[in-house]
Amino acid sequence: MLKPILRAAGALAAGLMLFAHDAAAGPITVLNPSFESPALAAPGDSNGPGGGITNWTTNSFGTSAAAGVWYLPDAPYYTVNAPDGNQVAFIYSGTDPTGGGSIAQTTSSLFQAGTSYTLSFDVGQLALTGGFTFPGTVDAILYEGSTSNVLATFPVTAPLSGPDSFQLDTFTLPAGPIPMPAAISGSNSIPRASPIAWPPSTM
Amino acid sequence: MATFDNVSLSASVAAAPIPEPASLLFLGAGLIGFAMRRRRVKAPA
Repeated sequence: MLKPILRAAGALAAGLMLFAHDAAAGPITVLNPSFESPALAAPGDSNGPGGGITNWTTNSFGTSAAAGVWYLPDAPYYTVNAPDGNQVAFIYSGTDPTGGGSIAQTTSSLFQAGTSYTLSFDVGQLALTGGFTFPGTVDAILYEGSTSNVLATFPVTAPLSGPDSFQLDTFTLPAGPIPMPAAISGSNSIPRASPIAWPPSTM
Repeated sequence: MATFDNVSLSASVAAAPIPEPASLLFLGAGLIGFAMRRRRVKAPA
């Protein structure tokens, strides 16, 4: 259902999506928000492709794309630790020009009318130069049975401190008047200048 | 390659508009009435 929007954002699309669908009040809980599950054994380990991310669904658009969790640091890709915990989520576009993908999670809460929502997450940039280029885009989408009602589009910025770092990006959705099943969807398209070998190692 | 960590989705309820005190309405009506009364007194017979 989301592919038309993701592909409109770019041929090489990687995404982060959150869906809220049930009628429950209170804060919206994101399960496994720091991608610590499944837990890997040691720095440098990753579980892609096919390893999955607990509580998240992964979708790849290309045959060589992959998504999973990655235990940092793992030089020369990242020499820094994960911003929170040990692991991060990765989406690898692969060598397929139509590659890319998304990770998504359905929450147990409904977006309420008169309430604004702030989506935040850390975005990382590899230490290797030339591998991947920012900026991409993040689309926030109100969902009413389809993903055609876009509330806003936010730019994903590269970490100001440059490669080999993470940066917390925060996006706020304005309060809407529609108290019905809704969704927020984020995607980014990051042009790939040149492919790199992946994965560096697996568990 | 995209890498993510530390995802959160927080909610913030917009503050409800503060209703205007009824006393302001009474004060405004009183001022208007006072002004109209003064104009009526100054009008030539």
